[in-house]
Amino acid sequence: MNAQLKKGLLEFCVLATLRTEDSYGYQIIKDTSNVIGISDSTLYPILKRLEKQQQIESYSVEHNGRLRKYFHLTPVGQEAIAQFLAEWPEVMQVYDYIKGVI
Amino acid sequence: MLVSLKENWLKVSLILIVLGLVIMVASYWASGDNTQLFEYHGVHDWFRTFYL
Amino acid sequence: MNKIQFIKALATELAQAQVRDTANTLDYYEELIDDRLEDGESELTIIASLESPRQIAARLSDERPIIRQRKTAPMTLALIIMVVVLGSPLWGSLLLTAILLIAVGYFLIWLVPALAAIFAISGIVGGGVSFFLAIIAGVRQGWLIGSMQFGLSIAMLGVGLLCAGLAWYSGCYLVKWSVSLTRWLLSKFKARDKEVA
Repeated sequence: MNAQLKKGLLEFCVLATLRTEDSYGYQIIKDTSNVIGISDSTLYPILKRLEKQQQIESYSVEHNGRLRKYFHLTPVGQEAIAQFLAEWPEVMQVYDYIKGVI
Repeated sequence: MLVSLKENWLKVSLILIVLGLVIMVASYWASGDNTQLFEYHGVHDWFRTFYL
Repeated sequence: MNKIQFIKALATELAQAQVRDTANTLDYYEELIDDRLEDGESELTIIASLESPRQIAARLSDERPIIRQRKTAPMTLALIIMVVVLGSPLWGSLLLTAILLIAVGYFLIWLVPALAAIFAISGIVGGGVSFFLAIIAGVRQGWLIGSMQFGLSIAMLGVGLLCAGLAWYSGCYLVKWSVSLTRWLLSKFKARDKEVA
């Protein structure tokens, strides 16, 4: 996929992965990779950014003698997903335009 | 005494002022409203203070 | 490279690239490697699949650059310009006027307690001295004059004491106030760190 386009979609993909249940780094990568290619290093900046924008929040859980960081979707994050979905018709318009239908 | 002075300086100072004024008025009144008595005629040499 | 070497190298690269929040980054990668190890991958495969520590640090420093720009305080800059142009007598006298105005300001502020102190000293000393000399005056010039002076000296003592109290309290208050004023003025000359990004 085109890099710029992917960049725009990845954040929402990560948010959506957390919609059903809280998850941690590696699990998020595995789940999201089913839909869109994401690497270990691309995920981290996205998680940082989403947390800064308060769309996700983190907490630590003990697992096998080490701490694992879990991420949880906040209401702000849910709002962001809803807004992305609501804006999709606009995206389709652009798609049609590029295709030459309009 | 200095401690009580530090605590009540305002009261003490006001009492002193009032007391002084009372004595001044009293002595003026006792002189029979004579301001002439209290005026100083002559040269105001400072060493006259100690002229005993 | 094994896991410990990788994390160490990453820490070094992050510090060099001046990335903020290195602890979280290291935690993330350590956790990731541990999770994948649990999943059954071998350490070497995992490390090989990751970007090199340098690339990771470069990516993160791109994401959020910290540019710290030492910004000269506006007052110091203005002062420097003033001093440079001081060669011209016109600007020199302007600077002198400014300094004098500040000095006058401080002087005026301190005038109240200073005056009160002067009145206090003169009142107490004068009142005290004339208190005792009133007796002599009374003997020499009649008791009426003596008592008049006596009353006057008591009143002077009272005024002196009153002014002493005023001087003390206004002085204390003004010390605190002028100290904070001086600090405020000086702070205008201190260079400040400004985070640009």
